[in-house]
Amino acid sequence: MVKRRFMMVLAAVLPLLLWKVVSAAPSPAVATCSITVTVADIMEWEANFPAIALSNIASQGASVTGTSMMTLYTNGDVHISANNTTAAQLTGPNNDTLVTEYGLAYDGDGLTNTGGNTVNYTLHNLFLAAPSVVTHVPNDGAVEVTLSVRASNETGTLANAGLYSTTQTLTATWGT
Amino acid sequence: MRPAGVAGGLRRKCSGRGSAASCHCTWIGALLTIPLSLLLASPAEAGVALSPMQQQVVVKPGGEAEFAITVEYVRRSPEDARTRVKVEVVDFFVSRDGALSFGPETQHARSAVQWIALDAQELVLEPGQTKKMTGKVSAPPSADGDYWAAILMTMGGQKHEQGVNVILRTAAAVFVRAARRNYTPRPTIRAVDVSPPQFDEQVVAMVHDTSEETDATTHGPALTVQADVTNTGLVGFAASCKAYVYLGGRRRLAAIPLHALRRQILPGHERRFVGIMPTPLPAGEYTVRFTLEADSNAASRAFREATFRIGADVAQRWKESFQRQNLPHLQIEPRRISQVLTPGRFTAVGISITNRSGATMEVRCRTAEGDLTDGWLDASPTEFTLAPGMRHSIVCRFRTPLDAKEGLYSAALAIEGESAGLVQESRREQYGIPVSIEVVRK
Repeated sequence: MVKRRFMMVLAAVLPLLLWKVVSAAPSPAVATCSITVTVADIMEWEANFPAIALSNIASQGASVTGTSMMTLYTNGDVHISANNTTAAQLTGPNNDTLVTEYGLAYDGDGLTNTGGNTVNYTLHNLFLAAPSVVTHVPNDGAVEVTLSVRASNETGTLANAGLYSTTQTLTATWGT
Repeated sequence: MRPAGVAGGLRRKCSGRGSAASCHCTWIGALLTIPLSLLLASPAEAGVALSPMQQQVVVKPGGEAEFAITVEYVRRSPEDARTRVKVEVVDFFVSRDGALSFGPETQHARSAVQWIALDAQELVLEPGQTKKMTGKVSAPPSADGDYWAAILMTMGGQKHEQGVNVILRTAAAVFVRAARRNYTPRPTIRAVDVSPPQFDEQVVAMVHDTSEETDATTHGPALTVQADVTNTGLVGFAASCKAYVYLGGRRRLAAIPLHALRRQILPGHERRFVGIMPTPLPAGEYTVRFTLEADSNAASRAFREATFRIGADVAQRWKESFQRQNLPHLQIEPRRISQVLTPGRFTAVGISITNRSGATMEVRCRTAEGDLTDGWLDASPTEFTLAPGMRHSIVCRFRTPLDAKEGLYSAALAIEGESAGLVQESRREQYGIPVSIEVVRK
């Protein structure tokens, strides 16, 4: 009899206990975490331009050229300016100089790819007097910039024999 | 794979570092040899990213403020080695044509160089290292208005004795406003000039050559107007300039937007605005009225007039050589923007706009229609001018609030282009760029 009562009480209480246990368990929850990152406007030359090699000028009327290419990373419009002082002119023995012209080209036109207009060979003192505009195209954060140099003798004269060198400085700056 | 970093979002185009140096040799004679060199296969040093490109700092006269510059040496190759960069605060000057020059020779009365102290001038960075530099601006009590300087970062590199060494620099602007009071921009049109069309037979022939696509920049004869604008105030402003052409001083015949490479004119600086109109004018006596507005503020305007004459023979030749270009003059990419965003997301998309006409164009942009709540989408700049053949980017910023509901939202960007030309002709083009945003919870 006692045993039967015990079983009846157990049968009544057990579901309640189970319900209590189940309801006390933590319910599944969804946590939302919002992460916001702002990408600032950035300019980065991939590396230093290697120095530009020029071969020998072998006659009065000859000119020699050389190029160097580097990637510029940007996520905004950029202007590129150059040094157009005498520091950018090839200078050699006894401060003799050569006609030094520079050109600039991009692998993109600024329309379908990030880039800009080609700058044809221009005398060192006029090169990028107006800056070259690099237009950023969405989803293209890199542009290959090719700097070209052309060296020649002044018309009607011959430069001193020897080694000639110079330094050109390209500066990437904020756009408009 | 590109390593993460501040520039991590930029797509890499080439995998190789260094150059494809190429040489061309001319051996016309062996009379004389000027050895110019043989260079120089030393490995290039890796690049360093600078961010942001420009920033505004507001400081009270006699007070201090801080700003931050991030410099990152992005690791791209296992061979990357420690690198050295020089960071300096320098003066800069913006020429009349909008070209920037840097260094002590550009020192000026409103220089902020002496006010700015960086916590480092020379950095030695390990591959993958990011350095956040702090600049402290200390304005003297007498400061009043706008001052400026540039943070110039020069990458280290070996100098070679022969050939052409190339130094790469990146420059970021710091504009400081010592806010003493409210300022009114003070623009002045110092000089104006009108050039009648020039008839270069070669160019005219090219414009008439319809066998292939004409380069927009090779426009035919055109009226060119220019205005030199000076800032005589204490604060910089963004200028917009337009010229109206009147026949006999009374009837407005044409409107010409003028373009400058940098619209922002700093105190004491001068900028040249140029407008080009290929549409021919009949013979007559004309007056050009130049109107300049600073910061789109009608209260800050300047005016100036000039006169010119188009003779009967010039008018006839101009008319004969004119080749009307069909619309559209603006080329816009992309033509549609779709974004899938989570709530709380902030992102940006660029739109490239190109002027394919031979005339200067004014471009205005605004968000239009749709069911986006205020603040979700904005575009800048909202107005600018384009020279023939020139491109400009508009940046659209999307910001979804944290409580944004899932669903598809739409809007549009309305872009209007107005080219230089006769007022009686249709000079305006309207473009709609559909924008759709799908908000999802992932």
